Amino acid sequence: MLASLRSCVLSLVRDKALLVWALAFPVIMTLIFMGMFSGIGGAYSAVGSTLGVVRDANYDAAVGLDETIQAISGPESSDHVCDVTYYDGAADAKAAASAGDVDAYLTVSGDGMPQLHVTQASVAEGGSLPTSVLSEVLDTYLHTRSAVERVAATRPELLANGRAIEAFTSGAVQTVRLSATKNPPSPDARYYYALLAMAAGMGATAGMESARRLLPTAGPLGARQTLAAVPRWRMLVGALLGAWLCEFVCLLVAALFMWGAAGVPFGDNAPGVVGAIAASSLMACAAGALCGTVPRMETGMISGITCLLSLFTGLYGTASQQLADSIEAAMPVLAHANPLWQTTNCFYALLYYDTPDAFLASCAALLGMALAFIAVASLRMRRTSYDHL
Amino acid sequence: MTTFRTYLRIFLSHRVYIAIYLVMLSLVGVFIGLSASPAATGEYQETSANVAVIDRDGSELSSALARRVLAGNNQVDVADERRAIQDSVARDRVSYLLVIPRGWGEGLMDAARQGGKAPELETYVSYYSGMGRLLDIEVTGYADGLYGMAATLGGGAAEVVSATDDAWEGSTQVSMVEQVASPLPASLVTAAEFASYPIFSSAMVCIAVLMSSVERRPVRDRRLASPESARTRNLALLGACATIGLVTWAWTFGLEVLVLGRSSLADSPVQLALVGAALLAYALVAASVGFLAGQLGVSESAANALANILGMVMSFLGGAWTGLSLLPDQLVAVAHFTPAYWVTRVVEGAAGMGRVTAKNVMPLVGDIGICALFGIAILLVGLVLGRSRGRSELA
Repeated sequence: MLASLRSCVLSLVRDKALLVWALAFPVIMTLIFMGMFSGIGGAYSAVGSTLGVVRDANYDAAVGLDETIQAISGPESSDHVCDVTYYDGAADAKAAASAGDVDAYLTVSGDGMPQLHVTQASVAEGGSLPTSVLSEVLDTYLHTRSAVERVAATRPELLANGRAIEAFTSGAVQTVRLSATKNPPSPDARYYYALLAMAAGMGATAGMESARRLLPTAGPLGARQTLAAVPRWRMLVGALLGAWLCEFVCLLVAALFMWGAAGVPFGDNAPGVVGAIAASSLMACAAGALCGTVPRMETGMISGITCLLSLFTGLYGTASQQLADSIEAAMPVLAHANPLWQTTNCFYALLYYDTPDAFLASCAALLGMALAFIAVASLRMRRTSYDHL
Repeated sequence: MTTFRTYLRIFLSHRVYIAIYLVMLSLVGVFIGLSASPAATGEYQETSANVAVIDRDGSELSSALARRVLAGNNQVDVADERRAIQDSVARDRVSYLLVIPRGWGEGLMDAARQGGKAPELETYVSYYSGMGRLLDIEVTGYADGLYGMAATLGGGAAEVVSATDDAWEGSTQVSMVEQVASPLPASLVTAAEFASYPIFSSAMVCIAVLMSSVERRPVRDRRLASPESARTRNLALLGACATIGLVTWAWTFGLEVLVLGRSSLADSPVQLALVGAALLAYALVAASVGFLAGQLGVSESAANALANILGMVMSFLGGAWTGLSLLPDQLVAVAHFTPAYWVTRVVEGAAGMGRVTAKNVMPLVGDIGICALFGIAILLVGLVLGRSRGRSELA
């Protein structure tokens, strides 16, 4: 067993394919992600836009509207959501919007209702959130104005002494932000975890190669090994442990690189992270060994399957994350059957939960899958050796 | 012609690669497109956040506030348990979670009578903090309304709620600035942006596999020994590579148009043609990269790795998966050197094109040209390398 472990490690290190998949691939992608996500936090928090305001008689007649606009456009204001440019007429504002100078422009109709006109280009580029924030501010203005009018209709003295406006606009109700998770939610951790899971899945090629070398069809070396006076399962386990060791080390280095260079949050439970990496690489190697016993499998298939499974961990951008989330909500069993999902969930549980149960459950699922793969692989291994001799 | 046909037969015999890379990955692109918002970019749609409310108070005021927040947003039910709250926020399943503490309604009425501050509302936001800003405006606006009504008109909770709800009627009208051209559906745009990955990886893998089987020693010797001239031999190989590129493009783009963009065929043919041309140029780039890899004698598994890594790096760098606007400036500067960037530029430009004029279309055609130039450059490198390798082996 030790001998097959040694030969397996040696051949994997010499082959370099594993190094490419389990080490170079995540490191390269980490570098790319680092560049990409340096701006993503800002993109998720950005609500700012440029607003053109048509300053005509209707605008001036709308009570308090200008104050509202100034409150949200003041450069020092904590409520800053837009930069304002004033225009004399709607035609000027429309021309500016069409030229891309402003994202949207505001007009006020004859009955004092504000109207926002937004350009398609700004929505296509920054989504509808900035416009929604603007329209929400205007809605609040509109509603407060109508509330004050109602109060003034029944108790005019409150409007005269300013108490009515004061009561509605003093900001008497505040919200306070609480944090539910152990670490603050991070938009990019998910990408990195999915990347690690994909690298682990790609590492299955190592398990596959090592198992394949044991097959009697693998040439004279395979034939000699098949004739050796060692039970097949012991050879398989030895080879598997060798592959696992290599992949584990590669992934560990990759994760260390992510943590050190890219500052990916992994939580404070270092042994847990190491355990998660060990469990997922074991699972991948076992899956690879199983594939190795299928003669028609090629390494390309493993990478193809891993690419597909990675879709459901949300590696390919926001659209795939939404798809993954909706599948998880609708068919949790299907999502949980994805070994790569279990890998990402291990890291995820370590980062966010303050109890270890979810992490342990995912690790157990990974180990269970690994055991199942190994069992089937050793059964198939026996059959293939008899079939082909 | 015979060699060309044989090459295509070799390509077709690698069914697994075709099935996994071409068929499956392009289907993934279509699914991603389907899951993107189906509406055309022409209509304005209010952002609706995923919102959950945990009402621990249960008073009339708190349920009115909950009603107001949930109206117009996607309601997500979250149990009042720590794990459920953690899950929903960490995964951005809920962008904004409002907890109305016990006794909030009473506290607000008391504060309004005495002119003090109302009890605070507790919120949890995911990393999508812009959404949190939006909802905060909505929540505090309405809650201030409740407070104001209680402070001025007074009365019981029910009266305060109904007076506030009356005032909270109506909303700002938002309209899109009209544009002449009808835009491409968002689902098609998303799918077309994603398509850079399946097109690149499938074309490159298929070609590299073809090349590695053609370049196997015995096959290579037989090929070189044939009376065919080097010119026709290489042209046949190049033709096979270009055909594979064309097939990947036709399958991927055709599928997307068929499933997601049938309406655009009639409504916005120019934009659709631009997107198609950009993807075609990209497919040819992928084909020339595959050709280059084959000329370099890259093994099958290495070609596989290269196709995936290069394909992903280019798609990410090109902004195909996150949109160019999310990329920081320095990275955009780097991205200029990848063909995928120019493709994404064309797709985004065509999607939001306000008016189909030569002035708007020509820059995009230029971008497609740049992408094609990448392909030609790589192809030339491949040809030169193949030539010098052939010579050195003969010598």
